[in-house]
Amino acid sequence: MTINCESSIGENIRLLLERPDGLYCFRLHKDRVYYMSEALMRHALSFPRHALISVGTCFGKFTKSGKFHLHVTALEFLAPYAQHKIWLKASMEQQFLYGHHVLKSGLARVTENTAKYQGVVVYNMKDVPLGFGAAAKSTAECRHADPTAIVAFHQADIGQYIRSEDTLT
Amino acid sequence: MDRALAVLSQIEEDAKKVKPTDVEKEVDLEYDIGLLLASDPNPLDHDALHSADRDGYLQRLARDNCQLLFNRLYQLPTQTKDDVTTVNLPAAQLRIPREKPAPKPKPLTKWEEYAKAKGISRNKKGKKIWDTELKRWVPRYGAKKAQADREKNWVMEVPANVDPNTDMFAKAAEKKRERVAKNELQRLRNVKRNMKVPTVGVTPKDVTKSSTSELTEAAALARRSTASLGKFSQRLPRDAPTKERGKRRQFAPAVGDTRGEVRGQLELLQNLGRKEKGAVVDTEKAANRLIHQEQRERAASKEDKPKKGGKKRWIPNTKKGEKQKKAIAKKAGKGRKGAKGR
Repeated sequence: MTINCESSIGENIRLLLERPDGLYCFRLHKDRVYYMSEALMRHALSFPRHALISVGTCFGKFTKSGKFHLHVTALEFLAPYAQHKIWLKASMEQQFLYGHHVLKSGLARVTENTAKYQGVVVYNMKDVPLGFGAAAKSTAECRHADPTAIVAFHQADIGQYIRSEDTLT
Repeated sequence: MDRALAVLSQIEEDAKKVKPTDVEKEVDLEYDIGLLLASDPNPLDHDALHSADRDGYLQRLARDNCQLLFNRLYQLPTQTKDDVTTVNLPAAQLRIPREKPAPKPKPLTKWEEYAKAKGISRNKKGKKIWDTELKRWVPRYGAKKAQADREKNWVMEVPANVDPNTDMFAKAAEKKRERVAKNELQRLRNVKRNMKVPTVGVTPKDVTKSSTSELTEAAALARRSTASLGKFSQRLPRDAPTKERGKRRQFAPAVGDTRGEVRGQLELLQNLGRKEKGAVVDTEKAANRLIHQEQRERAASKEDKPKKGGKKRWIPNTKKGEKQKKAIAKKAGKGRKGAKGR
């Protein structure tokens, strides 16, 4: 597991691995990290590497320079364990789902002690997880920022299920 | 009588053995005597070719053509030398293609390139030069020139700014040696520029024009190219240590001890999530305080600044204008005083 993912969920990650309904594991396939049950993993072994497109859920991928990018497909697994959250106003919600960054004017709430560039999970006012982001300002800085400043960078959102339907694995 | 007859009959028999030197051809051959070439444009006899005596026909044909070529050769003027008759072949008329590729023009030296660019042409210099001091023709170079120089410079002045004990002759000789050495260096540099060093594989052709990475790669490859794959190659003291070459990424097997894998990952998580011991300072509070302080300072500095006059008015240099100036000065003074009071 990578730092990026860990920083947005914290110690609740162990709940992903210590599941009561069996063993789950992460596997790296063609620079992408997939989360699957052990049984599924053993089934997937029977495929040749070039023929296997996807197994289980894709959590993200490693870029050519070694960075890890979280994908929106990991949202349902990681959202319940998020430690740092951002709530968006209704006006900003649409903008975020179109792929724009979060401005101060659209920020409703932020969890305390969010460090700068911390990975966050973005929610709307009805507590529906919308996607992942990275805090551009710490909580304290957010309070003193002007309304047009970016407070969170967009990383992944559920709008991508429609926008980039054909590229999601 | 009998003897004469015998001789004649002998001659006849001999003549019969040898075929005649005249050959009749429908179309004359085309000759290139310089290349000893004769081409026969006459068409071949198809009946003879497809008959049983094909070889014989071809042999006779070849013999006839050779005879004609030799006839031509014998027509040329001969020269005899030591019982050997020779004939001077004329120049070849047929152009044969080159056997080897054409030689590339010699690469220009640095001066030649410059001269070409500027349009400077070489002045043909004479071998001798008129020397006004010696009043005779002195060669431009060589031993006689050196002799003439010695005659001219039988004494050399020591200039005022130089130590009086210096040997001016030695200095002149030193300077000459330097000039010669510089010329030699430049000549060698020209040679080096145009010399093609045979390189194999990764070694760069022009060392001065290749980048550091290319050179290090070549050096590393050379170090590796031994029977023991570079294990015992000595490294130079100033060489940078090479990166370890081998498997760059090690992957654990896909199927293995899944439980053990999970355990290992959870341990790793524990180590990551551990908070720093001894963190006494509340960073949030400190950050808040700092931001608040900065904002107060900014607000305070805004009050101290004098208000910038909005529009610049042109005031005439009259009594009325002086009154206006006074009024403005009063206003400005009031403002400043007010701020300081707080």
